[in-house]
Amino acid sequence: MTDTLSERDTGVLPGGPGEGVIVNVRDGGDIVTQDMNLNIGPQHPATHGVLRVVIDLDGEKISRATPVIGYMHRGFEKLAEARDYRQIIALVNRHDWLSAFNNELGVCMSVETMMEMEVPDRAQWIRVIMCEWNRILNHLMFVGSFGLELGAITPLFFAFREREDVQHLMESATGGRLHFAYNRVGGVKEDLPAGFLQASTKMIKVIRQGTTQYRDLLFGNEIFMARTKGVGVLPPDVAMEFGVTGPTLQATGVAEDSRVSQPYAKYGELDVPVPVGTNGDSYDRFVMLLERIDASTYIIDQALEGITAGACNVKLPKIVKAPEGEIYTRTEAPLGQLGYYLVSDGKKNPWRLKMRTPSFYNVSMMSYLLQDALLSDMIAILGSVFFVVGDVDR
Amino acid sequence: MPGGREKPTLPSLTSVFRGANWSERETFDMFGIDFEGHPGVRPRILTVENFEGWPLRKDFQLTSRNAKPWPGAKEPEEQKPAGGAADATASAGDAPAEPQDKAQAAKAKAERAKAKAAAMRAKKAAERAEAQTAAADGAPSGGAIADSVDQFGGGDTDDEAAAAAATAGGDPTASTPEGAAEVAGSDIAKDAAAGAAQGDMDERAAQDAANEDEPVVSPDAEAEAAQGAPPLPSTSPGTEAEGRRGGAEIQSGARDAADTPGMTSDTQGLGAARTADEVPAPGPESDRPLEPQSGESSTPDGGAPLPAEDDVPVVPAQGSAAAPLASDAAPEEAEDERHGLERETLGVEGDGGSGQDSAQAAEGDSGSDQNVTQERVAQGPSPHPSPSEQTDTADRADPNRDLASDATVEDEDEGDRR
Repeated sequence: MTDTLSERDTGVLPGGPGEGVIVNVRDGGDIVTQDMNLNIGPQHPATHGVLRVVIDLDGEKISRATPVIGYMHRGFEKLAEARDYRQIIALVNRHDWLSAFNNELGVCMSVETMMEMEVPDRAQWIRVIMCEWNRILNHLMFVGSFGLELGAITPLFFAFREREDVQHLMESATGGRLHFAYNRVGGVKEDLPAGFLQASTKMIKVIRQGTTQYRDLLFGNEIFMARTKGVGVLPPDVAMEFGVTGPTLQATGVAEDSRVSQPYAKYGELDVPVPVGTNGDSYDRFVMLLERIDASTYIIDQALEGITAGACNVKLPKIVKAPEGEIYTRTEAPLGQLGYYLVSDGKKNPWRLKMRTPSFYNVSMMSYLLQDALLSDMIAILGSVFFVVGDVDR
Repeated sequence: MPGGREKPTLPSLTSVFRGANWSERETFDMFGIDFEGHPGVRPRILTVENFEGWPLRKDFQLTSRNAKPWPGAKEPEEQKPAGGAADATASAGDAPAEPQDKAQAAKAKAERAKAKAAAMRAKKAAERAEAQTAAADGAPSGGAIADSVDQFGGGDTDDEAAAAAATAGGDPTASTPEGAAEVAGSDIAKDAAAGAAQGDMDERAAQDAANEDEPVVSPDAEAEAAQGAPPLPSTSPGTEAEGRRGGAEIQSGARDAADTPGMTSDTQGLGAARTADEVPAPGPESDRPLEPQSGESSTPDGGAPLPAEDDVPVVPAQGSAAAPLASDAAPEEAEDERHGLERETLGVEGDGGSGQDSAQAAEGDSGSDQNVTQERVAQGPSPHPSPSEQTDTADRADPNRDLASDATVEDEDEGDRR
């Protein structure tokens, strides 16, 4: 039997899995293999948390992979029903702890839209800037850790070096390093501190230098290229069928981005570049991260030009109550489309808050991606489908 | 929905979108809705397999909310009357109602501590008066005193008190209370000494009471006595005033705490509870600070400043005013002592960073107590606190105030957040 992977691939890449690899020989071949059931996780460094994958191995080939989730289920949707809208802001900080600001924004936008509240311009600009800084923060994490998972330790240190600076920057405005809780219904908590915009300008340069460095480090690395190119190829139609979004979807060549397709805050007034890949493999997914970081710096640049003076929040009633009704708000979180479906019965706490988190759907596609992959490619695939386990389980 | 509430079913979308698989599994897990044509909604995707119930249905209650309602569910104005009611019951000396939430529990706690402190104050007054009596004419003042002292000793703590008295007897440094008892020449005085030495907690409370008593209240009482409160047939005006002061204090203190949480009275009440928390289990040395208090009355100096009218026993008034409170408060505290956990939790919740402070305060106490006692022995009970005493009180008061204000701020905070 010949290699089955190459049939599915667009072509055999040098160093890719199709080249000179005998996957297995059964029934009449020289080698007879036996199916093996292997349990990866729930504690595994490559899974960024407690994701467990049960795989059936046929030789070195994964014949079936089943992600087992729920180890971090904290019942956020139930908890949200017992809290009012201001408390929910702190709650949603925590389902995807790498995209806290983007999460808050979704909830705040939902409530604002239901209350038909006008958010001041400056607040919207601040939101754009903070969103993009948070996106950079998130992507830097995955840039560093993906390199680490493939054996390159330096990118992690470099990425965390920049991450620390960005965290300091965001901390100066929000007071938090991970859980910002900077958004409020109707704006943001308070105005940016003095010197924040200048510091942002400087930081953009630092980030741009950083991404150049990561590219040099990794794309000049033969091992990295060999382990990612042509590995874990995801066709666009399958990606869309599974509801995959974010960099994982963009890598397949689909230019979908909520910031462009349904602009919120001030994104409608900005030029938002949407990078797309060609093959949808691990390499493309990783490249998407770097290009999205570049896009974010470009957006922040524009926002720093466009930001206006004025109020940055509105006076709220003592008790915030969303009027009866329902709304679905989607935003582009760093990992993909984040949707909040909010149903209100007119009280101060939601009747139901459904969280459509990107990681949940990205991971649901994993069983497709891992099927027929090699065991040694599993880490390269897991690491390149970007997810946060807290975001999967909620 | 087909299938009704018991067995709801919907057609599956998985044949159209593969991605609907997990969404439908999640819906099944959270709502119990089965999907026809789904490759398998089990095993449950987010919860565990043996999980009972459907978490996101409205009739599913969170486990922790079964024990305690979510405090954020109440409006600030809803919460106030409820808290006031709880306070009222607590101040009436009844068994406190089931604590509605943390803040109220803390308040009730403060109430109990306050009542206890007041009881201790009353007891001290009784003790002093009794010692006076004993010193003056040596006549035993009757069974009523024994009764009241027993009540002060309070149910379960009697054993401890006896043990403490035994250690006091064995300890050479603690000969003074014994001596006082001998001077009094009656079992009653011994009982009083035992009651006073019944443990660190009480002693602390007594100390607190003494600290606040001497500078402020005694002159008041004297003034009242001078004005001539209507005498009862059995007691002289002075003692009556003294006795009623104890009762009135308790009531007014309780009222203060109920009306204005976070006022000084509340602070002191909490303080008594908290200092009691931090003090280690009663040991031989724990009796020492009490010496002067029982000894002071036996020395001629100590007896002198007190008004002469105090000679006659105080008992009836005190027995009626203070005993019910004391008998309620004492088992409560004994209970707490057995399960120290609850009070620890309170401390942690009320004041996150107080560990160091309180440790320091405790150190300061143990250090300065010695000074205080020495000074007192030398000077007798002076109406003005000595400098070391003042700093002592200040030291102790500061962390306490933090604690009390925390407890109340927490209350307001929640209101604010809402």
